[in-house]
Amino acid sequence: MMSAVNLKTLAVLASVVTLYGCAATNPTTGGGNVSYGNATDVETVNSDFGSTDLQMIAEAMSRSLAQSVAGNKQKPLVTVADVKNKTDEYIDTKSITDSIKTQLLKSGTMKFATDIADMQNQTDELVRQNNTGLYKKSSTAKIGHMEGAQYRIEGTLTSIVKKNSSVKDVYYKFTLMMTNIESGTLEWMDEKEIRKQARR
Amino acid sequence: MKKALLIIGLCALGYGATCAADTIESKVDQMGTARYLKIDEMSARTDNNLLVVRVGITNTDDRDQKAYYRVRWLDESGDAVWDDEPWKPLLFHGDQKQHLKLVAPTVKAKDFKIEFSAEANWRK
Repeated sequence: MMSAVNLKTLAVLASVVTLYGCAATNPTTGGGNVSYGNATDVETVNSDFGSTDLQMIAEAMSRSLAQSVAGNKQKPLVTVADVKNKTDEYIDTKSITDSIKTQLLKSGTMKFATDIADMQNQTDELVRQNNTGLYKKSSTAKIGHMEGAQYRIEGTLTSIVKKNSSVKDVYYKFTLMMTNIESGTLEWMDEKEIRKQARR
Repeated sequence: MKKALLIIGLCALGYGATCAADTIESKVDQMGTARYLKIDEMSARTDNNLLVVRVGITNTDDRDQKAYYRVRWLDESGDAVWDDEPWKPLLFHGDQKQHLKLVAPTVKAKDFKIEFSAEANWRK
């Protein structure tokens, strides 16, 4: 028959194994209530604009744009203007256009000229290299050699929200268009629609 | 018949020796076995040098069914040429058939594998 002391020792050993045994097999630290998920999973926390919406929009727009220009002999030089957020939510639309640009650059179908948002940094760097006298003439980027974009991409994000006592329905529409800057003609346009419903 | 259509479609793109084995089943990685959703059409072609895949999925149930999918874009040797795509949700109404148009992100993509996950699967 096992003594009371032996039983106590076993209980302590069991609790030590429970507390520390499992943690040893996972390279984690901190022990807080934090867990990592997959960035590509479908996010359904609530009906607000989320990561899956951003990813689906960026993918749909970049694939459609790439398909429209992939057969061109020369990669079109494009600048990206703002995407207007006409929804009631705060949405970082630059994050959407950044994803679209990233995918198009990686696809090798387009080149991007400095857009309005990055122009200050670009001109500051040119001025710094040319006007401070700190750089070798042979290695400075020359002023007046920037390439002007042939096309401008811009868009809008709109939403329609309806709700009753049991359901909230959100409809997003992302519209993107590409305009020939010289002629002003609209060369490409597409849209991505998303419907989300949340039960209350 | 449907299998033959896919084989013809892929062979026409110049997939060489691997094309003989291409069937709808061979191009789909299912997470579980979908109980009501059937991938019953598939064809591939190139448009402006980009691989374009068309997929038909039928809901054989008379209730709504949900599923998720994404594509792995591969080169001739089966190596991935693009990062993991986001999973995309699909909603099928009862007895509805949907057609998906999947455009490759890069001209380097010469082959593909569809990852498909239905919410209603057969139990193991």
